[in-house]
Amino acid sequence: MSDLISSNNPSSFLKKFFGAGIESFESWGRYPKVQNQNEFIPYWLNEAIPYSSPLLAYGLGRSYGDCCLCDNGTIISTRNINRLISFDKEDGIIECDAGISFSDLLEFIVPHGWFLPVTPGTRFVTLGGAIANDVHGKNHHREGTFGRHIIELELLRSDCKSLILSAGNNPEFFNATIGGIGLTGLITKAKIKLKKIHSAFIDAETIRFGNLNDFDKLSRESDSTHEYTVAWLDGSSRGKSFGRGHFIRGNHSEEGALVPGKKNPSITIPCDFPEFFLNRLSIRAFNETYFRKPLANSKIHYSPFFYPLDVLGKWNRIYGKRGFFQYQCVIPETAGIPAIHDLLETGIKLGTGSFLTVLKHFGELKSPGMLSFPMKGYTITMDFPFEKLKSIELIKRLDAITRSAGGRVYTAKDAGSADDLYYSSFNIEKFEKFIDPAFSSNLWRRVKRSRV
Amino acid sequence: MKRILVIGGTSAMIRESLRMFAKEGSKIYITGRTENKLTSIADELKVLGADVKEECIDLDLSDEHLNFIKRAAEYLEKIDIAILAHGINIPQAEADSNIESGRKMIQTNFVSYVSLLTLIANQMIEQGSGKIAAIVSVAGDRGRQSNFLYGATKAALDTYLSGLRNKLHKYGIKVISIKPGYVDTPMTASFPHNPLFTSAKEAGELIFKAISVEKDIVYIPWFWRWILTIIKIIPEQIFKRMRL
Ligand SMILES: Cc1cc2nc3c(=O)[nH]c(=O)nc-3n(C[C@H](O)[C@H](O)[C@H](O)COP(=O)(O)OP(=O)(O)OC[C@H]3O[C@@H](n4cnc5c(N)ncnc54)[C@H](O)[C@@H]3O)c2cc1C
Ligand SMILES: NC(=O)c1ccc[n+]([C@@H]2O[C@H](COP(=O)([O-])OP(=O)(O)OC[C@H]3O[C@@H](n4cnc5c(N)ncnc54)[C@H](OP(=O)(O)O)[C@@H]3O)[C@@H](O)[C@H]2O)c1
Repeated sequence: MSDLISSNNPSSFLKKFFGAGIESFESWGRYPKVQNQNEFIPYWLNEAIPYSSPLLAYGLGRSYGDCCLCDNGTIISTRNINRLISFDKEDGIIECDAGISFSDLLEFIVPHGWFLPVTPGTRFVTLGGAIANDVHGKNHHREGTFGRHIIELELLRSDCKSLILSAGNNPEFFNATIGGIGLTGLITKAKIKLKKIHSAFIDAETIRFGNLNDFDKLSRESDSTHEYTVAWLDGSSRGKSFGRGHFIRGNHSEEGALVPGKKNPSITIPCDFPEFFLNRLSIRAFNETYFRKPLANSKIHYSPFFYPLDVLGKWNRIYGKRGFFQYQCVIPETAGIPAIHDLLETGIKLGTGSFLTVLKHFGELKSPGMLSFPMKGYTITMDFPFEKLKSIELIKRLDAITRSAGGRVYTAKDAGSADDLYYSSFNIEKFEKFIDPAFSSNLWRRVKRSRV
Repeated sequence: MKRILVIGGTSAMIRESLRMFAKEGSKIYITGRTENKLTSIADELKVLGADVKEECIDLDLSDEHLNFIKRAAEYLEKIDIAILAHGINIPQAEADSNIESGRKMIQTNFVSYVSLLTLIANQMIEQGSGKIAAIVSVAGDRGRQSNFLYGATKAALDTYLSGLRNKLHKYGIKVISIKPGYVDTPMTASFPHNPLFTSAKEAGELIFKAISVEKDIVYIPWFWRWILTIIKIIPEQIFKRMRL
C-alpha cells in the first residue's frame, strides 16, 4: 500500500494546517522541541530495534517537558504493547503490558468493581509512564504515589536481560525504576493492586475560598474526611482576590452503576490556535469566569471528577505553535504557605499569569522510588505560554523560591529548571548505578551537564 | 453469545476488533501463523471474557483448509461470523525482480481466500445463516505503479467478494468487504507516516462496528471512500502520467 499519494501531496498540505499527523512524538507542552529523533513503534517485543542508541521509552507523551524526549536518539513507543495479561477479580490484582493506557484499564476494571489506586489528572497515560514518573493524584494524603501499589514489574535492559523486580526481589533496582524517568531500561509489564469501589460515582463537593490560608484550613480539615482533595487557584488575580479558588473534595460513592466513562474526547482541537489567543488578558478573564461559575455539590461520575480536561482532545494546541510549560514544585511543610504565596505572586507579576493553577497538600506516605517527587508539604502547578527569554527568567525566579524553601521540581513537568535542584533533592550518585548504559533523555542530559 | 472464526487473527488491526468482541463474551476460534503472537493474543481475549481456542496454521498450505474449517466449526458448533484478515504486502520493486515473491503474495492474499471462503460459505449455507467479513484494501480500487500487484490481489478478492455477496444474499448470509486506507500496523511500519494514517485501534474499532451493522462495503475510515472516488474518476489518459 506504499505511497498512495506521492511526496508533494495532500498530506503535506494537511500537515501544514493540522500540525504533525498522529506520529508526533513531542512532549505535552511542546517546549522544548526535540531534534533528530528516530521513532520505533513495535507491536511485538521481540522485534529488534533498527536504530541506534541512546534509547528512551515513550508512553503517551503526557509529560510536559523533556523527560520523554531524546535528541539524536531513538524513542521506543510502547503504545502498541498494551495487553491485559491476567486479572484476579477477587483480590483486584491485575497484570498488564506497560503500554496500556489508564483509559483502557479503567474501561476494563470499573465494571468489575475496581479502580486505579492512584490516578493523575488525565487518563491518557500509560502504565509504564505512570511508573516512570511515579505519578500522584488527589489522594496522595491517603495512598501516596502510584509506585506504592506496584507488586512487581518486568524491566528489559539493553543487554537483552529481563529483570523481575519487586520490593522483595532486587529491591534497589525496583526502587530506582519507580520514578526512574525511563532511565533504568524498558518497563515491559507490571502487576498492580487495585482499589475496591462500589460505584463509578464520586460524592463530590466544591467550596469557594478567598485566600491561601483559608485553603490551608479547608485542606487540613478534609484530609481526614475525604479520600480526594485538591484546589483550583485563580492564577492571575492580584490584590484582594489573590489566592482565591475552589476547594474540591470527594469520596467514592456507595451507590451508582459501575459504568466506565466515555472512551474518546468529545471534541478535539483540530489545529494550533494563533499565539495571541492566550495572553495576560484572556487568561485573567478565564480565571475570573471560572472562579464565579456556579458550584454544584453532587454525585458525579469519576470521569469529570478526575479528568475534566480529557473531554478536549489535544488541548495543548490552544497555546499555539510556541508551546507552553507547566511549573510544578513541592514545598516542604516547614516553608509552607508563604512559599506558595511567593510562587503564585511571581507567576502573576512576571508572567502572563497562569491559565490553570492547582494546589494540593501532600501527605507523609513515602514512596519506594529513589527519585520520587512527592514529599509532605504543598505542591503547586502553574501553566504558562512559552515566551522565550521571559519564560526562562520566570522559571529561574520560581526555581529560586523552590530552592530556598528546600523544595523539589517534578520530572514529569520540568522543561528547563535549574538542574542542580535534582542534585540537592535526591541521591543522584546512588541512582546512577542503575541506569541502563544505552538509555538517556534530554532531561537527563541537562541534569548531567550541570555537573561538568 | 457470538461464535466467531478469525483467520489471520494476529493482524494488528483485527486484534483490536477482537478485543471488543471478547468484552461481549464471544466464543472465538482464532488462527495465526506465528505461535507466540497467537498465544499472547488468545490469552488476552480470555482475560477479557471470551471463550477461546487457538490454532497455529500457515494458510499458504491449502490442503489443510478443509480439516481446519471442520475443527473450527466443531468447536464453535455454528459460525456466526467469519473474519478473514491475513495478508502480506510485498513491495512492487521486489515483486518486479523476484517473480516467486509476487506469486507467494497472490497465494496468500487471493488463492488462500478463495479456498477458505468457499468452505466457509458452504458451511454457512448449511447453517442457513452467517456473516463473512474480509479485509480488502483501498489499494485494490485502482492500480498504481507503487503497488499494483498487491492492489491486484486485493482487487481480485474484492470482485470475488462482490460475487459471493450476490450469491449468498438469497440465503440471508451477509458478506462485508472492509477497505482500510493507511493503518498504522506492522505491515506499514516502514512507510513514512502521514496524517492520513489511522491507528490500528481506531481501525479495529471501526471494523467491529462495520461487522455489527452489516454494511456491504465499508471504507476505514469513511473519508477514503471520497479519496478513492476522486482517484477513480481521473481519466486513464492522465492517470498513466501521474506518479502515484
Ligand atoms: C492534563 C494532565 C494532567 C496531569 N496530571 C497529573 C497529576 O495529577 N499527577 C501526576 O503525577 N502527573 C500528572 N500529569 C503528568 C503525567 O501523569 C506524567 O507525565 C506521566 O508520566 C505521563 O505518562 P505517559 O505514558 O504519557 O509517559 P510519557 O510522558 O510518554 O513518558 C514519561 C516518562 O516515562 C518514561 N516511560 C514511559 N513508558 C515507559 C516504559 N514502558 N518503561 C520505562 N520508562 C517509560 C519515559 O521515558 C519518560 O521518562 C498530568 C499530565 C497531563 C497532560
Ligand atoms: N495496514 C494497512 O495500511 C492496510 C491497509 C489496507 C488493508 N490492509 C490489510 O489488512 C489486513 C491485516 O493487515 P495488518 O495491517 O493488520 O498487518 P499485520 O499485523 O501484518 O497482519 C497481517 C497478518 O497476516 C498474517 N499472515 C500473513 N501471511 C500468512 C499466512 N501465509 N498464513 C497465516 N497468516 C498469515 C500475518 O501473520 P504473521 O504475524 O505470522 O506474519 C499477520 O498476522 C491484511 O489483509 C492487509 O492486506 C492493511
